[in-house]
Amino acid sequence: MRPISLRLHERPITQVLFNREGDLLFVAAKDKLVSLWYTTNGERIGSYQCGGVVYSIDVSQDSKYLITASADAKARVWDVSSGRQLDSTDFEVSARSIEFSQGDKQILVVTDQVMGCQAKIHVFDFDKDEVRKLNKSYTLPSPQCKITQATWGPLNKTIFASCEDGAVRIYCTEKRELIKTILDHNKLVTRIEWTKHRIMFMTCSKDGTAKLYDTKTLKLLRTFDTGRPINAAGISPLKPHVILGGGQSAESVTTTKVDASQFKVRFFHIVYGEELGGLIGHIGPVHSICFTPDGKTFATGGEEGLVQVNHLDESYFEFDDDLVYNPPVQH
Amino acid sequence: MTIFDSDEEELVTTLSDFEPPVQIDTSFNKFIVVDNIPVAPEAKHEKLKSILVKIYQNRPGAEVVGIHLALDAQRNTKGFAFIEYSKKESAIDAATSLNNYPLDKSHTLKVNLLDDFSKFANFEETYKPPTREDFKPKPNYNQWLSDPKALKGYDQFVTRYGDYTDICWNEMHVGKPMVEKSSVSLTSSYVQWSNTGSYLVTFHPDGIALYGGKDWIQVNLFEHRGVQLVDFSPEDKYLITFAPIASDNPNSPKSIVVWDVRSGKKLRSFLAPPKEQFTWPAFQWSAKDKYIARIEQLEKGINIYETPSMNLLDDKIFEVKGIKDFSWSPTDLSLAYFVPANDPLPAKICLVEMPSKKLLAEKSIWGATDARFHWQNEGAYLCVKTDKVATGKTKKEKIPTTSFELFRTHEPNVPIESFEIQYAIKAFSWEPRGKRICIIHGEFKMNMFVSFFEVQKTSVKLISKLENRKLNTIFWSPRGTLVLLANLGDTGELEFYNTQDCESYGTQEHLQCTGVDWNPSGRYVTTFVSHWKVQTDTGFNIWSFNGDLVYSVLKDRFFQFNWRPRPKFMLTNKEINQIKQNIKKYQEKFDKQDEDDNKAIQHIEQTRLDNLMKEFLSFLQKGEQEYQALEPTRKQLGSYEDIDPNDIYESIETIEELIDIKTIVLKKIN
Repeated sequence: MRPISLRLHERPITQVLFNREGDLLFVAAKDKLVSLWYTTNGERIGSYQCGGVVYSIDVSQDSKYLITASADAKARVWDVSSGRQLDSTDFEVSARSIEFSQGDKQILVVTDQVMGCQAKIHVFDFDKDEVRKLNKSYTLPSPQCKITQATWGPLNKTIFASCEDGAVRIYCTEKRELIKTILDHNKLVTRIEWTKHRIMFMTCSKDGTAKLYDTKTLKLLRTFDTGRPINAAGISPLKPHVILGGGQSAESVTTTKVDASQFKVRFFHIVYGEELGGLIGHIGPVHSICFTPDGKTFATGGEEGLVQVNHLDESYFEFDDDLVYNPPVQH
Repeated sequence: MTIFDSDEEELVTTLSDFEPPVQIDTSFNKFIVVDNIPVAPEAKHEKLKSILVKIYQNRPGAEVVGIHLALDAQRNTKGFAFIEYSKKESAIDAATSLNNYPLDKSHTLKVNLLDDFSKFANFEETYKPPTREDFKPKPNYNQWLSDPKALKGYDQFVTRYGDYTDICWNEMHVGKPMVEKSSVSLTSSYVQWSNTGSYLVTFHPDGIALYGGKDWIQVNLFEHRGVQLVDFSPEDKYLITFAPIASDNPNSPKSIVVWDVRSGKKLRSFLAPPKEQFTWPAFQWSAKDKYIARIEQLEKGINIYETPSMNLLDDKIFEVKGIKDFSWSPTDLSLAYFVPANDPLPAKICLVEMPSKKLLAEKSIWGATDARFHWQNEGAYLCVKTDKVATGKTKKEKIPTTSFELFRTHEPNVPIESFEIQYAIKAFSWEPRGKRICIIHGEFKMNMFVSFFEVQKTSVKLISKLENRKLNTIFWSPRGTLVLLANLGDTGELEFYNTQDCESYGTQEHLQCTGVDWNPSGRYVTTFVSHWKVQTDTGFNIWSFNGDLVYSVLKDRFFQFNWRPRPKFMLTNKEINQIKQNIKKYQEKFDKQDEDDNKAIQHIEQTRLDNLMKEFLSFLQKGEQEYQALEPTRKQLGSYEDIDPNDIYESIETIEELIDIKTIVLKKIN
């Protein structure tokens, strides 16, 4: 397996994202640029110039609209094919996270916790047929600490927020209030990642662990311990595997003692919790990992600005049995 | 009449406001009864009273407020009196301190508390013999040595990370620690093993606790507020604790306390020296848990205390004027001390037998100012490194050398010889149970020498020398022969060396390694990075003796890794050799056992994995079922997560291929 290296961005990658079909790869970075690539061969299609560091992106399920959250306190809507900006909304502080709801009728935006401003989750109505596409709907109460990411729960009934204090907070979108708090991590939670169909979710933390939960019961199923901060996870929809990436941030590692093997992405068995192997390639902490929905390709983005697209070998698919989502029919 | 009634009511109210009811003190806890006072006529009563008051007021803070002599019909004293103090503490003090006061030759005064009389008056008339308690045997603190795991050669270790303390077995084929006991907040600072591995010490604000036995029960508590350090005697009968106390009271010191481990009894406490002179351990233990000793603060000699009485040996100091340092033999009751040079006298190293104080050996050295004692762990050899004042005559170009004096303590008349090493010494270490010495020396950190010496019949021979090394510490295997050389606190280079064949097994690296700990069997060695010194990539690696990495563990906020020590080896050399000769017979037996155990372990593990998969799939399939059932709701939302087969995207690439080229010549017809 030879990874495709995408070298365009000069500053850390913040997010890599595949569209629903998996043929397009979107990359957001701190150089104010979002780039678009073909997955199969790594050809670049184009880019979207934002006014500030891009923290988060999402794409509609029909791949027509791209939304971005950036440090210039704006959330923007783009036309994917032409690269034109269609709409934007201004905030008082950086926009940290952004996501389409299921069905693309709403958008959530997280704004940062900075000095006088409290972190908030804003929900907008998204109407693709109108000129003014973003309209304010409501705001959820603030958790009084920085929110690293927010994501829609199944059927848009809940919103999950990963927080700086180690908590994962779950809000009800109907009552618009906090209904649950998970306090299993003791350091900042960096990422929430869903399995296929949102049956389970995984939380990643700076405390060196990732935890897998059942979405319905919120039962903790497994803990994956890497001993180093974890920034990102990718959960295979096909195999019982999960990929974890992270590593010490640059400021806490002295230059003379850097050890590149800590920046490898590591494969764990999602059921047994054991490490299966790893892939090296990055020379800085890994910030984002994403699988294609068919589970045959994944991409990683790192602190050094490098994106790697990995098309998995046939030997990988022979290694383990597929996940069985439907029980065998009994006669 | 009406006016009068009203006035009367007011008066009653006023009276109750101003005069609360008087509370009468009915206890007699301020009273003492004095017995055996002389019988005296009335004419001498006042004199007798003044004498008694004088006697019983002669205590700090005591004030006699009343005295009453008991009299008979003729107004003579009956021989006892009642004395009242202003506070009960004085009465208690008098009962303890002024009892048996000799008034004169024929009268010894007796004092009791008056309250005690009612206690004695209520005593049971019938004698009841005390109940014999059933004997409760103490658990066997060496039980772990007969655990099936230990009999197969596994050892235990303790790790601490975050708030967790884990006690684990090292089943190496598993590839990870097997946790026997995991605790949260077991200790407030760190944990420590005793010398024989029987006890695990935990630290708390009010003292230390000892854990041991089969289920890690709490063996004992030792109350010592602010305790920071613990030192066990070699055989774990006693322990010494230290807590830093500002302005400790010399009359009842609290800094250093000596305890009996089994009973938990405090034996004695000592003052700690000033902070700049403090070293740990504060006292040095002799072999066999017999003595503790430390240098007297004014350097007049050594204070040697006997166990368990904690009395000074022969009730006096072991006088050695100007003493600088001393060290006990690890196996014999002998002691080596050093007196630095004091013009015009040379320095002196002496070996003395205790308790007889017989001089076994003595060596004079001109110009030595300091010394460091290195005992071989069986007490067979003592190597003393001496420092000398550089004289003005020494040429600056000359390579500096370090001198050693070797005492062959187990040979007749203790022969002494000298040898020298070039350059300053960075590390020195004896081979356990052996005759080899390893020394790291050199001028530059990046270019050190490692020299191995062997003590032979009449000389100390250099057997190997390694050059151009970045190493600073030596860790011998507990069984000897093998040694791990490390670069601690820096880049973490490791070199595994075999002194039998004088060859290096290989070099490894554990980045930023802060500590090394050998397994007691000598088959494995652990390197670890502690969060106390390094904040990133903390954890530990376990290596085999020849440098193969067995497994590696990364833990956030990792603090400690310590192998559990084993008690002193009990087999004689003859028995050991017998086992070596019959090793094949034993090996077959253990191989069979291992095979059976591995099958059982594999079966258990496979069952565990199958159960995990079953549980996971039940969650997954139940979730998928619900997901499928909610199809109409998602359609209503306009959510289409899965790819519709009809919408599958296909890229079509047209390929034009040149198949053939034909040339046809057309002829013109005229």
